[in-house]
Amino acid sequence: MTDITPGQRVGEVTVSHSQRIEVQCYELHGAPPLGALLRVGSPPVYAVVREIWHEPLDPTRPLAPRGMSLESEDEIYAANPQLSAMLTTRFAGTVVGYGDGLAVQYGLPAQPPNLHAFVFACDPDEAAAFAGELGWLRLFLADGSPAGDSALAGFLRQAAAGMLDRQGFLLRAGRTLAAELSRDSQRLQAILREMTA
Amino acid sequence: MIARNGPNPGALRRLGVVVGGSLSRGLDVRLDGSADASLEDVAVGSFVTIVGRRQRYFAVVTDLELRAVDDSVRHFPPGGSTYGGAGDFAAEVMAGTLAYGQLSVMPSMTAPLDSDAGIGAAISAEQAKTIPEHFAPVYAASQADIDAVFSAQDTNAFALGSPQGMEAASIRLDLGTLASRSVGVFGASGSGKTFLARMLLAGLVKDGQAVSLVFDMESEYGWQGQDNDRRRQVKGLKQLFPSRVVTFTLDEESSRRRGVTPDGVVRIGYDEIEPADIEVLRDLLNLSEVAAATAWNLERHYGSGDWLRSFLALSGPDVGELANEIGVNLAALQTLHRRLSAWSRFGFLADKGEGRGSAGGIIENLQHGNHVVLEFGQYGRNTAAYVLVSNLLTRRIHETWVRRKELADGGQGDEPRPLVIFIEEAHKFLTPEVASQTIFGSIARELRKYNVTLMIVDQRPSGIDSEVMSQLGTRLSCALNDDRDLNAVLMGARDAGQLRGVLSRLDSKQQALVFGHAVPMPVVVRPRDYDESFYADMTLAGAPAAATAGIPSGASALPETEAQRMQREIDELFPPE
Repeated sequence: MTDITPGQRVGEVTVSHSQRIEVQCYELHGAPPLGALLRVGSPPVYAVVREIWHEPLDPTRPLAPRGMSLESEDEIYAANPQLSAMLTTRFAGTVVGYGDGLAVQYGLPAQPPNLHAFVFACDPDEAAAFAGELGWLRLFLADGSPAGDSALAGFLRQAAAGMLDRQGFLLRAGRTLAAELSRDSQRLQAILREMTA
Repeated sequence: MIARNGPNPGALRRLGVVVGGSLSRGLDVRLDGSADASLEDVAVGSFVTIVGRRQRYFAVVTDLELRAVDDSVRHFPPGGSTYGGAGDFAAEVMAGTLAYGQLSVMPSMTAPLDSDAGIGAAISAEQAKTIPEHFAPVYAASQADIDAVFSAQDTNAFALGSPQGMEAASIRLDLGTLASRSVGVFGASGSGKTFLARMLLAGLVKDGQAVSLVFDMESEYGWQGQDNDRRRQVKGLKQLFPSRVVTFTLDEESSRRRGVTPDGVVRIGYDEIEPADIEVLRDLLNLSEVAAATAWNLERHYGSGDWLRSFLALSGPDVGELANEIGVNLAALQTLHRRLSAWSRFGFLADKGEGRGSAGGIIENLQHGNHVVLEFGQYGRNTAAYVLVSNLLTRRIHETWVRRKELADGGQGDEPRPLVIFIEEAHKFLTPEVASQTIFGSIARELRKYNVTLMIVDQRPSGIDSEVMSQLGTRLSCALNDDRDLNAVLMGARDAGQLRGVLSRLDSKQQALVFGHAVPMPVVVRPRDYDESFYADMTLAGAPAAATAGIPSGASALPETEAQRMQREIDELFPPE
């Protein structure tokens, strides 16, 4: 797995919907972590990584195991240098806002990001500044899946790390979440637990 | 966004917002869930102010409830074993959001929202006939609000105590209003009702708008009373107001033993007792209906003034002959004779009443604005004696008041002073069976038509006739233990359902729920202490001086006015009998 430097360009948009984008990474295993905030294209559209997957570039050529006689995973890639060209890492992001001049709007942009738009992993300060107002939460929850809840908890955790009042932010986020998930306290509690794990 | 300018919002403690309810059932207030608005800080019975769009509402908290948006919170509470780890954080998040506190409040008073002053200060507060809209903010009532609603600014009004949780605020009663309808003071034994009643009486004496006649069963209102909790003596009415209170006694010896010099002694003549008095005592004397009714036969036989003395003068065999002669059931007559013979021990019974009847001296004092305490001494322990005497005297006094009131209505003479008759242990003789036959029942029913009202002090209100209970204008109730008593106290009250929750949670001492005619809205009061500061308040100069005249045995007396002297002489020359 490749380490991502905050602010680094990680890939390009390959599928683009108003609510959801798919990104192909420049490097195999080079995706930002689940819940990371992405800045996409210009003017920027913001999205949160909600799912990451690795797969062969050519879907008609499924993978076969190669390491039966080898000692470690790394040896597989060393012995088959073509693999990093034949395999790729993709991830999906949920759109949670867009830049409007200097301001950030929590809502869907008028147009989805362009195909091949560059995708950057935001640094913690940028994530903290974006997350602080919590207006994005509803958009994110609208796209509900179990991985999404973990991504949400991850994003909140990462955003909190950039905050001065970490606990205060988590509490505020938790309360907003509680209002959104008022009819599903078990799901709420699961997210809260992950947020503070 | 509607601008809601609360009175000096910074000074108020915001509790939450109105989220539902109705005028009849009361409003639901969702607590904010902030540290300032914890359920633990809002006691039932305390006051809140609701700031509506155009009106400010003053309401009392009648119930507290834990609510949850999602029922699963009950089944999977945060911090439970189901979700270990994030329990505390989850609980912190969910408290005030998914799970929250709700108040039930009853809006009682309202005033236009147009000044910085509290409710009602300059503006007149009215009974609430509207309710605030959704999401009107709710604040803990400020002292200014409470003072305004309970006329604390009116220093002439009687300071009863402070509302729950606001020791600095003051609840005041206009005693003229209080005395204009009958009053009930209830509470279990030891709950402080005697002190409350004593304070009200002291207030009435000081206030001077009405006179009172106290049938003092335990001899604890006249000269001095006993504080059983602190084991000390407290001042009675006579000590507080030596020139305005006159004490009579039925039991001179007991008074002397206690070192009290009564102003007069009451003797009841056998000739004053009527068969109706026996009917009232039927239960207490354990008489059958037939036995009690034979008194009427006896009156017909012997004549109205003499029936009881003649009947009691008979010996055993003569009773049998009499039964034959007047055609009544022998066993019934014998029972009646046996029971009534016990009255020979009543030292206050004399062959003939004195002068213009036993009630004469008392009536004279009352008419002249003196308050009268009748001590029962040893007879206070005998309920039959208490009922006999209080019923009989009250009947006389009531007759006088009715006559004077009717004369006044006809343009002849002054209105009689408002009179408050104070009775204890009313459940023993205002029972549904006999209430209609006692004078007290009539007084309660006819309201203030003749300027006579009752102050009933009792520990078993459930034993009192519901018709009498429902006629009580103002009720003050200390803690009660019995459900039936709780229901009885609230009988006929507006919002009884909500008040029940408040009443059932009063502290066992030193708290009383006051509601009805004399207060603008129900209020839980911590009565002030009956101590030196109360004495000092009661003896403040500047209170209207009551004229004192005609105290029978030379107690301190103020010079009577010319009009009073003339009235006294007229009364003496032309006895009301």
